[in-house]
Amino acid sequence: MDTATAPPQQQAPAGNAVAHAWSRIQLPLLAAPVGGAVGVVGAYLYWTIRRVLVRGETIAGDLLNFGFGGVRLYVLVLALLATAHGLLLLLRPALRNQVQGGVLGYLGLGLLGVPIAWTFVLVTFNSVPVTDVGPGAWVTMAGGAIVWLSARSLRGAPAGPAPAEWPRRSAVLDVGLLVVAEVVAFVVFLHGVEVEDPSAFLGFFVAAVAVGLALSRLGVFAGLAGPLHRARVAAILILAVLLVVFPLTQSGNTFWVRVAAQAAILVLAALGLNIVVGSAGLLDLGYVAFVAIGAYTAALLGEAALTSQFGEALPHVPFILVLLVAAPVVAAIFGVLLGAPTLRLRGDYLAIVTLGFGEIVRITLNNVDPVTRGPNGIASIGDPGLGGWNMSQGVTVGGTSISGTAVYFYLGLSLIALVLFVVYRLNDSRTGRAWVAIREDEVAAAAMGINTTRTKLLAFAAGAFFAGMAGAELAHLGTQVSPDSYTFEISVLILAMVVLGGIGNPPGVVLGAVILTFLPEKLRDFSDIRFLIFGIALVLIMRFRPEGLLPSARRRRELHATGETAAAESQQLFDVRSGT
Amino acid sequence: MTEIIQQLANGITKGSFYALIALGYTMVYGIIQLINFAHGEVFMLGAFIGLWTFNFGASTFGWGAGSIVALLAVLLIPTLTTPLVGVGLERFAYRPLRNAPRLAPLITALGASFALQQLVAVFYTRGFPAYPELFPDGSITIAGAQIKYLWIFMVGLSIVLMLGLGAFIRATRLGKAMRATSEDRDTARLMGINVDMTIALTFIIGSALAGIGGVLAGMYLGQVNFFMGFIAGLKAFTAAVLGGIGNIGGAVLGAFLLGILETFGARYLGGQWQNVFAFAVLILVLVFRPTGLLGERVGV
Repeated sequence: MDTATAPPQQQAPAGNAVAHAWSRIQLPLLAAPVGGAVGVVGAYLYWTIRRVLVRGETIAGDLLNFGFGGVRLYVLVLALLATAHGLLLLLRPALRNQVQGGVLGYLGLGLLGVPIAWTFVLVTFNSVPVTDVGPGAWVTMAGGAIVWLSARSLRGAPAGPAPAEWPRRSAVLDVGLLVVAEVVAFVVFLHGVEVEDPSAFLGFFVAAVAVGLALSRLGVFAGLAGPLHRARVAAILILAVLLVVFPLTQSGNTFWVRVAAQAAILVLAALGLNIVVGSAGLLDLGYVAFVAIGAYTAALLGEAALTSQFGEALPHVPFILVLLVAAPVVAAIFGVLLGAPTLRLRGDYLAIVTLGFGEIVRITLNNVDPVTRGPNGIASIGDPGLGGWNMSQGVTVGGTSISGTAVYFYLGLSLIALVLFVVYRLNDSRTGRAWVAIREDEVAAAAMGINTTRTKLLAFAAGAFFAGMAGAELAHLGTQVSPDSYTFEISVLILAMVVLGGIGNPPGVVLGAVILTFLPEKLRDFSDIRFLIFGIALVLIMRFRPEGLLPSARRRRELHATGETAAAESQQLFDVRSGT
Repeated sequence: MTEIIQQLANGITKGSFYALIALGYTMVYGIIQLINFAHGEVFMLGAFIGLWTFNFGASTFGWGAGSIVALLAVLLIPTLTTPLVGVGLERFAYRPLRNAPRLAPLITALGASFALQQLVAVFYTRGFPAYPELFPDGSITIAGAQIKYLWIFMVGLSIVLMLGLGAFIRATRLGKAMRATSEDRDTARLMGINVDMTIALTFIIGSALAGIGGVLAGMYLGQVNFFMGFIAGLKAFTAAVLGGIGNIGGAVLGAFLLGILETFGARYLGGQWQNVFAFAVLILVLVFRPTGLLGERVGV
């Protein structure tokens, strides 16, 4: 540790100028640009010994040539960044602090991690012998390790500046920063969607996470919060434009648009669950039941299903009414039916009762043949229409044709906008504050005159309402419903979205839902261990970052206060005899 | 009459392995007020470890059906290994969160349950491996109802284990430490009790019982699968709540009652409603008598 701060004067040769130069260089830090350069060399070497075929195709970027593409591009970017950063630290001793050390460390870990991830996928899932992995991968790993070790020499350095919001210079600069940030994020996202090869994608993912962590350590995200607070409307507008553009970037291919539409639906569901779990602090483990109820309501009211059973006697219900009224209201009614007797229970009992309820709904859907058609479910739900327009056929606006899938995506986006508006208004309302009070301390809340049962019931009903809405759109997007789609796994998945993003913070929940919809689609090769990863991720998140990726400010303070301070206090108080 | 006795015997046998799982739930809940969702998976792992033990023995030592050594090994090895899983969970997943908000360990438990279940699922994607028939196949007949030897053995073994557990908690120093810890953790610590070790011990005992329960369930059902722990765990939890959570006698009573209720329910309402029946019981108990039949006792 001392090597970082104390210049090694002993070795300094005669001559003040040389000694001065040497004291500025420092051996461990000299290794950083060297490691980065090794990484650059690695990017230019062969990454496979022979031509590797995956599903009959050469994997992304011909790794026998010196050309770029795929994993080598990410390695080159990381290696150049690490080299530049290392040189900067060598030339500017004032910058040598823990923050910069952290940044360099993440770059090094990324440079180490990308080839490891790439090799792992190739060897494990594409059964490429490890001996076929070329020198490029190994050299890059070595370079990454050198950079990382070199960065560790800064652990004893001064702490460096704490992250802070960037101050206002001008409104134009604020908006400009937001445009740059969102466009960069969007382009990175689009690129991630385009990378098809799983090994290259995992490499991309590791590189993106490493750069993201480095930026976070540098305080870029904390800094961006400044412009974001000052120009919130502009930020939302830019995001809206990018999202509307997304289907147009897919050049007629609807696969990822469809995934995006699913993501939008899951965002809706996750926002609903967030009211229950995040705002009111009630753990609902059978949340998917409400999605199922919404979906079945929509399916039964859809043109094909009920009319074929009961003839033409039933009136046709317009899709917009089903989506905005019928499905959500039916789900909310079930929410009240379940909640009314059970919400008096303690939190952990509630968790298990909701779990049971989820199973009961699924089994009932499976068994009540005459209405739900049992395990087969209801197929060929009619296309939704608005007036005379069939939504599933898409639409042509000014010469640009928009596919039916894209229409679903846009519908999902509008619903999210609506739900976000409602959620924010709710959270600031008397009811929202009552939810938070109950979450913090139910007894105290009751003592303050809050009708806890009614307030909790309201949270339950609101959550179920949005789940019903999500279910209705899901049923139409998939054109069929069956009990198998609404298992306990999906409840856990939606819960994982909320937890990963940040319990109680709507933007975080949106992020969590988007990540957990797109990642599994990208990692289809790992679909066998997908849920395994979810389970482990839930444990690790609660252990190391319980506030999630984008925590709400209140939550962050709370968790860190109760988690660390309280633990430290009880340690001091009671550590007399118990050996931990 | 024959019918009723037959169903009763079925129900009691089922109740015996529900009871073995329910004990772990109720003890852990009693001591740290956590619903250990992963407990059902420990039960499932017990069944699978038993199966792997037998498969290993069969290929290495040529164990066959009816071998006493095989039976002992298949009963003992899961009982000795599942506690490692339980303690591992406690040490790495739950202990760091002991002072966190209550939602945190609950979500962790859920994640751990999911992870363990899917870990086994990776190897047995949708398979239902058959369980070895280690117990001599035969039965006695009471009033026309056939009661297999295996069932008698299962119920007998569970009752012995439960009585042993009861004696352990009542009469030994460690049992006393457990009772003290569940009553008031901080005071127990001040009295010189190693609270962390006591909690770990609770997980060890609970997991061992669940492990042996898994083996018995495998023998009873004749096959195992990776999702058996989820439903069985839920039912065992129902049983614990039915008897009064935190209450050991209650858990046993609840488990046998639930086993019997469920068997009769499935017989007269149709097998496809079996699981709905158990959950409905859970909800009804929680709504009308949340403290359970014998009363809730936070304290083992």
